[in-house]
Amino acid sequence: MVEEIQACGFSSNHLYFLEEMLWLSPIRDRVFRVGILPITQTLWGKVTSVSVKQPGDEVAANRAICLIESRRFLGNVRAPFDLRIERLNMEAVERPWILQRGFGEAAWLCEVAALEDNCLTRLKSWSEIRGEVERMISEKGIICFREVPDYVHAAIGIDCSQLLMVLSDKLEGLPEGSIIHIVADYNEGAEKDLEKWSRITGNEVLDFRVEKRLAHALIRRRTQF
Amino acid sequence: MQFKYIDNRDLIRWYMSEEQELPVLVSTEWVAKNLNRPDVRVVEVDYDPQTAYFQGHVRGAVLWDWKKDINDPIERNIISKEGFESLCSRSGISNDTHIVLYGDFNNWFAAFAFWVARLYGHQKLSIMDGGRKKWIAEERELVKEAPSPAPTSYKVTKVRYEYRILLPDVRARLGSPTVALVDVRSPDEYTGKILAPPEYPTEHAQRGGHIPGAVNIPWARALNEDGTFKPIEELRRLYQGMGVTPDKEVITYCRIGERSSVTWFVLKELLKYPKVRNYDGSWSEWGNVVGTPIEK
Repeated sequence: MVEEIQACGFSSNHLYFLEEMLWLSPIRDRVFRVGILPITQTLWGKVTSVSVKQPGDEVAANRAICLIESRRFLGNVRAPFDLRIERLNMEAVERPWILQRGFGEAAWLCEVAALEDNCLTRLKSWSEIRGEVERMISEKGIICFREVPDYVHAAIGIDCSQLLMVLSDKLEGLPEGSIIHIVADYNEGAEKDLEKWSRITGNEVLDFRVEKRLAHALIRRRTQF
Repeated sequence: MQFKYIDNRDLIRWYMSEEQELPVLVSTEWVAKNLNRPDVRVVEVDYDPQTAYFQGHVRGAVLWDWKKDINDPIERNIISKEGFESLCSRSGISNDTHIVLYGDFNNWFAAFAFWVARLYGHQKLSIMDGGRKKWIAEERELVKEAPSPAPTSYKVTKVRYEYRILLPDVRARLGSPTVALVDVRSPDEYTGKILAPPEYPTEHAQRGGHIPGAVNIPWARALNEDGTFKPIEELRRLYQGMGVTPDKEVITYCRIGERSSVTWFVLKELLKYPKVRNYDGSWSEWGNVVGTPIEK
């Protein structure tokens, strides 16, 4: 069962190593499938590259499994226990942002075999971390989307009549297919205005949400329609 | 000056010579071994210190915030001579200190700081090859405490204006066969397909394209996957193959002068070209000024 908080999914079947933003799914005795939590969409921005250790490599607890690079983060993700890398998901290595979408078939990074008997001691269940995750999501204003935005633009304080002009201007410099997350003050009619603008310009509104009086719109740049 | 040169697994490595003269490129290993030396000051130069320096940095490294410390606080310009003196003084840097620069974004802003420090005549200057990314990838120590170096009285004794070029002088050189203009941006920026680099998508210019006559050699072509510089001979072939030869006056540019500082460093400091100038006004100036000629 997957529970969503601000559209960030957490499976009750998984185990978590929150310090390193990892989920682990047991697939057979002491072998786990490993992925990255979707809340990193907000915390790190879109992951642009991942350099992961190779199958057969043994990694001690607290040493790096992989190096992650994103729009706002460069750092190692560390192993929760002594392990050996068994298999890589090459689709995720080549398109690492899919790791941040959630728990779909493609959204895992690697499979690892635990090399120690007490490998579970540092992992926690969803019920054990739920409160901490809720606090983190609330304090850091975390929000997840099905598609990971390439860019975030804060347009808070801009008059609603100017907002669509600003949006058009920002999109003009982006490559076709880019996804921008725009955050603005909410006003009634904003969603309808955005839909109308989308029909006129061809840009695609992927998501629209209102959180704490702020409107969050996810827009894909389209130049041909 | 003789450098020891070791080509190890196709990655160039420069080490201190026996005479203890200074290479312009030092390895992460060298920094790890020498960071406590009193004559060495490690400096992290970041575009975004919140996601870099403040998350952990090389022990003893001081922070130079590119926006606040390397640029003039009011006008669009690099830091003044007096500003550079003040920056070095409060960073515990004397005129004979060996400054080792590294930073985020593949050392873009460290290279910019290197260029500014050279312009203000600092001699003992190096870049840590691979920058912050390589240091982290190698799981080397990161600390969060910032050092409090004893202030010095740094004095700029010579300004190398010839390392910089401004818009009117670029314009005056258009069409000159003795000048090589190197646009180090991505091909899509060069051709005007996109108006801003992917890293700063919303900071676009009014017009896309490139300065007439410029060749496109993206900065990243000088680097290996791990962010270290390619071997010297490979670099030489790369630039000379595109007509950027040492007999010419070379002008590098990008969007704001930081990526072009990387290429300036390669041409001036690694390949020892005699006349290399960084046009830090770059496309954010050229692409916005009324009446500047543009090629697509």
